[in-house]
Amino acid sequence: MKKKLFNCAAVALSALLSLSTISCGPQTIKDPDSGKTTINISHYGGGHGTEYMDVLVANFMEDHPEYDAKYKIKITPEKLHSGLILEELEAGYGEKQMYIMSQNDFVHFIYSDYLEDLSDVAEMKVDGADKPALKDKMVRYEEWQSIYSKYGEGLYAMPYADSVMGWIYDHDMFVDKNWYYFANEKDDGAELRAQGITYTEQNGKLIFQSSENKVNYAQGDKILTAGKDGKYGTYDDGQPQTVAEWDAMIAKISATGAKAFISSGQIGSYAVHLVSALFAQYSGLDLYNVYFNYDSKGEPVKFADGTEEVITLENGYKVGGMEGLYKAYEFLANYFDSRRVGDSRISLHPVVEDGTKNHIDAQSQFLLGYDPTATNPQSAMLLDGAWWEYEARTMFNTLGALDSSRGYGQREYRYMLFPYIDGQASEKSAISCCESGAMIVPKDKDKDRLKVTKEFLAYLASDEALNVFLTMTGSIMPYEYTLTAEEEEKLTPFTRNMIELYSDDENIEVVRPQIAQLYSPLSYAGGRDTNTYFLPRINGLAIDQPFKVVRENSLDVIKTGLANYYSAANWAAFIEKAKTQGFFND
Amino acid sequence: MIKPAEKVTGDAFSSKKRVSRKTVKEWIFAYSFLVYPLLLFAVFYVYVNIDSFILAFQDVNIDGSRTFAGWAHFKYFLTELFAESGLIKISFTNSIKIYLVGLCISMPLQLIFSYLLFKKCFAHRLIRILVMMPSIISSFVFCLVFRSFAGSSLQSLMKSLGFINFPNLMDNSNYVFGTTLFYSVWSSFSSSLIIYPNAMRSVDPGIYESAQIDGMCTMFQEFRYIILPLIFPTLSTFLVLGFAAMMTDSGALVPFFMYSAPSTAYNMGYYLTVQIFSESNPMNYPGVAAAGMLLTVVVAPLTLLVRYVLDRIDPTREDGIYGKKRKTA
Repeated sequence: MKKKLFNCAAVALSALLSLSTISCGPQTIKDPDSGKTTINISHYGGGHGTEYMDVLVANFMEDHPEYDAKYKIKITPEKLHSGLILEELEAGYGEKQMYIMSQNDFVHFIYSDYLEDLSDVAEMKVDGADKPALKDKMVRYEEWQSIYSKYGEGLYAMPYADSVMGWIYDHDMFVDKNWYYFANEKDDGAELRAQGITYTEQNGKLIFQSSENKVNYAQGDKILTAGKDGKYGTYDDGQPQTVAEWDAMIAKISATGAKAFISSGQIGSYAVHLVSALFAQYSGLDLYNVYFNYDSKGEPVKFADGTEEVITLENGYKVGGMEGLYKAYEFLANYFDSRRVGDSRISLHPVVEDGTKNHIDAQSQFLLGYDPTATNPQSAMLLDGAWWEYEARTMFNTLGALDSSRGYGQREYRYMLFPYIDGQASEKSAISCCESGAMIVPKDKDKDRLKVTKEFLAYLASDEALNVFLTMTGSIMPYEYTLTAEEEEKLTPFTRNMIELYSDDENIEVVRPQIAQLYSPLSYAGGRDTNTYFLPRINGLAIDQPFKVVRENSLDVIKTGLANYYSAANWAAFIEKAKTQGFFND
Repeated sequence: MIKPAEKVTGDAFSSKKRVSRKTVKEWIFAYSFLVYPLLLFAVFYVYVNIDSFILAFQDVNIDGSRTFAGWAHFKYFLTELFAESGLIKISFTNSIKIYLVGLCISMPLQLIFSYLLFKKCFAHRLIRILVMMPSIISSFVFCLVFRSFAGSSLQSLMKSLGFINFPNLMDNSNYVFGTTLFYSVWSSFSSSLIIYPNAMRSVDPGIYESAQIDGMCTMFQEFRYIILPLIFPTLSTFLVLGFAAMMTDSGALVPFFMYSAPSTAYNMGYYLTVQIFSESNPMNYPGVAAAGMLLTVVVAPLTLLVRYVLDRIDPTREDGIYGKKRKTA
């Protein structure tokens, strides 16, 4: 009897183990607690967090009580890259109805028929029948549609965050430390008066009194120089405009014992967006786009070695040699080649070269730098994205408990623009968006659930939802909408400055390399590397950390490395491969 | 224990029936335990390898379908391997270097240290603890500590001592491979310092006494003429396993850098790991499958050859070269 029981137990155990393997398939779609049908949303767990989604889900369900009774929207924060998402889609594992991603390299999902066409979502008018449809709200809809279509048909993704990446600094600290350029009566008086700004003079500095127009000064503030936009009281006041002024600012910072730059040594790829912005600023948007679309439209393109050539698909491998790209590295080398001991422009916080320090460490060191130590000198500018303030809120809260003026949203942070570079083609300054994520909906057999999922997706791009996202995370989604004064008041000063910068089409060029790399089907249909733009290949190796590139190599080596990123033979293979996939055949 | 079925003669029919039923029950019992690992083996090893083999000869299209690609991926891998430079070439070369350093530096040092521990040398307990640290502490924690020390901390220390241009050893392309190699040599001590001294302890003490009577009086002689030959099977196991893993072992690069190690530190195991885990486009998977196959084709027969040679020269085997010589003598 004992033996039989033992045998039965063994068989049962074995069956249980085998079944546990089989049960790794699609999970139940019913929420075990409420019995409601679950809409699972995988949300990239990055700097934006997912707390804002809880608010949006609650709002959506409040607006749709008919869905609330039947469905439960469940948000799962996870860091999935597109390779892992593809595995989930292929295996049916996880049974997710939406992915909110920070990446964009998923075009093959569309051609593999894993995704729902969202053209109907783009036509929805979520803000009211008299308001524009989502596709009309979407920033650069045509570009988005051309990338996320299937041979030009349909729309299989909706844009998520559009996060500006650049040098972030503490405006209040720059004023206190005199690191800014301050306005003076001789050079700025007439312009200030012309702009309707009244002021008084105190120790050679101009003190703001009032303005006829909206400016970001309060009464008693020291007035700064106009910045590159030529207007007083905007996001770039007091910033250096020329390279000489930029260098002088760094010298001023260093003279106070502080370091000009801090950036995560571990995430060296952040600096790619500095290259991106410098390249776009130097060459202009059209040439910047040639780097990605391999079509200079018959116009010769100037290379770093002084030669010129028209870029076509066939010789597209030469884009790495473009002059503007090299100029970007040349600019960076002046400030980040730490081998240049004694050069006053080299002013780097130790974290920049510390491969163990991630972006959170860099943020913390930046914030704690107001009380400098031997290992953490004060740092003036942090390289980070629009999400940084929200991401660093734990440190802000800790500091706020000690000194309320250092709490979350209390201090005014701004983005530092690059100065005019000698020979730059563009009149505008450029900023690069690091994260240009996407929202995708996998195919769903449950058509009722799919309808709700799509409605929720559309709601995420409604004015109400965009405002919640903006106020809670400090980041932008690339849809056009206006903020009321009351809503604007809820934003942190940093977010207000960022929006002002982002929206200034007249003076600012926003570039999105993550999206631009998909302009040509070579990236997703030809086997060309993705997420490896603007890099040099040195000794046969692609180096994805610009600061490292400039501190380990000479400019000549970098120039050759950029030009030789792709070989002619490999390029021809990419084209051939893309042709077999149905592209470039017309 | 499962016994082989007894040979049954005609008049023992009832016995055969009884034995067969028992055997069947035993087989059911045994296979009820084996079915799960067998299932896993079938799915995650047999199927995966067959699929990988097929994939190496295919192209994955943008819609996920597959078409025959012939030898294209093999050709690409070999071209990159024999190119002037490149990630595959560096990874391959580094893997060879790691193996040779392990063979020529780590293993002799491990044997000497093990012998000294076996002989209970001065501070042997402290040495044992120190070299065991990487095993006692979580490898990720240890890697983090090592990385922090060999990276920024050491650099700061050297700068404060006046070496202004001292590089960050965990970041600088010229030094990072050497630094990770040093770590792998050091961390490899932990397991070998358990296994080798234990193998040494298993040698009959009577042999040492006999050797002393025969005039063998130095530690070196004891190590060279008694210990090494008698622990040769253990050494042989390490050598064969090390050779077999030469192209798949990624060392400590994943805990050090996850998937963003400097290119100069790459080895073949890490290259394949990164290609699989961080690659988002399935169109690039066939290249990895072809690389894996080619490496297997090279390493598997060589591993068997190494095992054969080591078996032949194993002094403890009677059918080896030395065993036959002893017989002849």
